[in-house]
Amino acid sequence: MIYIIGENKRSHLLGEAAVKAGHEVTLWCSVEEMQGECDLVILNTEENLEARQAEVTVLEKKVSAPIAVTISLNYACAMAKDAAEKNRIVGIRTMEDECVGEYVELTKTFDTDADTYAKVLELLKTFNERVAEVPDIIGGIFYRIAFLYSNMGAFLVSEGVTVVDVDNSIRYGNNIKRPPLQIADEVGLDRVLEILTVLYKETGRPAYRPSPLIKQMVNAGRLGKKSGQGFYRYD
Amino acid sequence: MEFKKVGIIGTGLMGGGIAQVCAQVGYTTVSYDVNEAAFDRTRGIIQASMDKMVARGKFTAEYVAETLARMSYTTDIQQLADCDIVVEAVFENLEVKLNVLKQVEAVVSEKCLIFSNTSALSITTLGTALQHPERFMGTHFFSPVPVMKLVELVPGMETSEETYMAAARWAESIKKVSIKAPDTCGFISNRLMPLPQNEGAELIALGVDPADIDACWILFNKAPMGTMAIVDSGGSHVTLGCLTSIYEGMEDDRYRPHHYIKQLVAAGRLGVKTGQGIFKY
Repeated sequence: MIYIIGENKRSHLLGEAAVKAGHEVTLWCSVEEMQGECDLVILNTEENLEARQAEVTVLEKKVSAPIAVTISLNYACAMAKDAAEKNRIVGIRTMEDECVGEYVELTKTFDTDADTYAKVLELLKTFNERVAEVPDIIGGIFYRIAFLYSNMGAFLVSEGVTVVDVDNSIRYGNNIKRPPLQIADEVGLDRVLEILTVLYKETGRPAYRPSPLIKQMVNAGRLGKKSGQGFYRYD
Repeated sequence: MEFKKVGIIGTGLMGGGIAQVCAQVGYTTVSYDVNEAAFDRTRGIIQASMDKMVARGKFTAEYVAETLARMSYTTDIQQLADCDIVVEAVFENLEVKLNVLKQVEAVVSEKCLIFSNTSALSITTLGTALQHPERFMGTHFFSPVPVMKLVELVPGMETSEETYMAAARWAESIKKVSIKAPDTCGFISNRLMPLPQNEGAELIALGVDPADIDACWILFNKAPMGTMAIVDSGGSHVTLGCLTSIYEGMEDDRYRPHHYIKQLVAAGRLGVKTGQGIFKY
C-alpha cells in the first residue's frame, strides 16, 4: 500500500503509475486526513518548506513506513530538519508533472538509513522505469539541466535572434523534437524564472543567471502556453 | 537555376559533404585542395553516403551516377574562376583561412559570392582578407552535412543584404533550414548546446551518474541522444574547444570550461574516438 498526500496533478500521476505496476494506492488531501498504515508515504503537498517540515513531524508519528518527500528546489535534508526520526526520510524529484513513471530521482539525507533507502529504491523501481540516485543538491539533475538552454535561448532573443531561429537551431542541428523556447512556454515562464532564480542563488553558477527578457515577460504576464502567449502565441 | 557552379575549398568531411549536397540538387561542383591525396578518401566517403541512401530505397543508382558526374576535384585554384559561389571549409585557423580567402578572391569574378564554413572564427574578421567583403559571409553547416538540415547564415559587419538573401536562397536550394545568426562566438547552436554539457560536468563532479543525466535529457527534450553522450561523440576536446573559444572570445563566465571536461581531455579520454570519454566504448 502506497499513500500519496497532496491533491494535485502530480499525486494523481504518481498514483496512476503505482496502480499500473500493481500497487494499492490511496490519495489523501492532507496529513491530518490520512489514516492507517502503509509501505511508503509520498508527501506531495504544496512545496512550502516550513509547512512541509511541520507536516513531516506529524506524519512520522502516524506511520512507521519510509517517508518520501517530493522536492524540486529544496534540500531533502531541510525537509527532514525538524523530524525526530530523520532516518526514515528520503527526497524524490519528478520532472515537474512530466514523465511520471518513466523517471524519478531518489535522494538520501545525511541521516537516511541504508535500510530505508534500499526499501524506497526497490519500491520506486517497481513503478518508475528509471530511478536516478542523486546527491542532495538543489534541483537534482532535472532542474539543473532542463532549463539552461531555454535561458540562453532567451538571451539570444534579446540579442536579436528570432524565437523560431533559436528553436530551429536545436530542432535541425541536433534533431531534438522539443526545442528550448517551446519547453519554456510549456512549463511556464514564471516557473522557469523561479527555478533559474533559486539555482543561481544557491549554486552561484553564472549559467543560471536568469535572462532579463524572461523577467520582463513574466512581469508583463506573458507566461507561455497557460496565458496564451510566451515566446510563441497560443490561440 | 540562379547559381550554376559551386567551388568548395577543402576536401575534409565538411567540404566533401557540402560539395555532395550541392551536386545532389544539380549544381556543378569543383572541390579544391592543395594535396590530391585527400581526393580518393573524399570520393569514398561521398560514395558510401550515397550508396547507403540507395540501399534504403531513397536514391536510384542513376541519381547517384548523375550526382557524382557533376563533381570534380582539382589542385589548380584557377579551376574556380567561373564559380558563382565558393565555400571555404579548410582547417579552423585564422591565418590559414585569411590566406585561402585572399587566394579565392584573386581568382573568382566580382559577382562570385564567397562563404565560410567556420564554426569558431569571426566572419567580420575573416572578411578583412577581402577587397569586397560585402559579398562574403558565414554559412555554417552541421556534420554529417548530407543528413543535418541546419545551416547557420552569419552576415559579417560588411556583408550586404543582397549577399545574405542570395545565401538564404542557395541554402533553400540545397534543402537546408537556415537561421540567421549574429557574428558572435558560437553563433547560435554552439552557444546553446555546451551549457547543459558544462553543467552536466558539474553534476558528474558532484557524484551524479552521467547515464542518469542523459536519460533525463532524452526523455524531457525528446532527444535522440544524451547531452553527455554528445560530448563523447564529438570528442571532449571539441567541447572544451567550443567552451574555451566562447569563454575567451566573449569573456563570458557562463562558458568557463568545467574542470571535469579539462580533466577528461588531459587524460586523453576523448570519447568514442579513443574508446573512453565520459562513458566507455
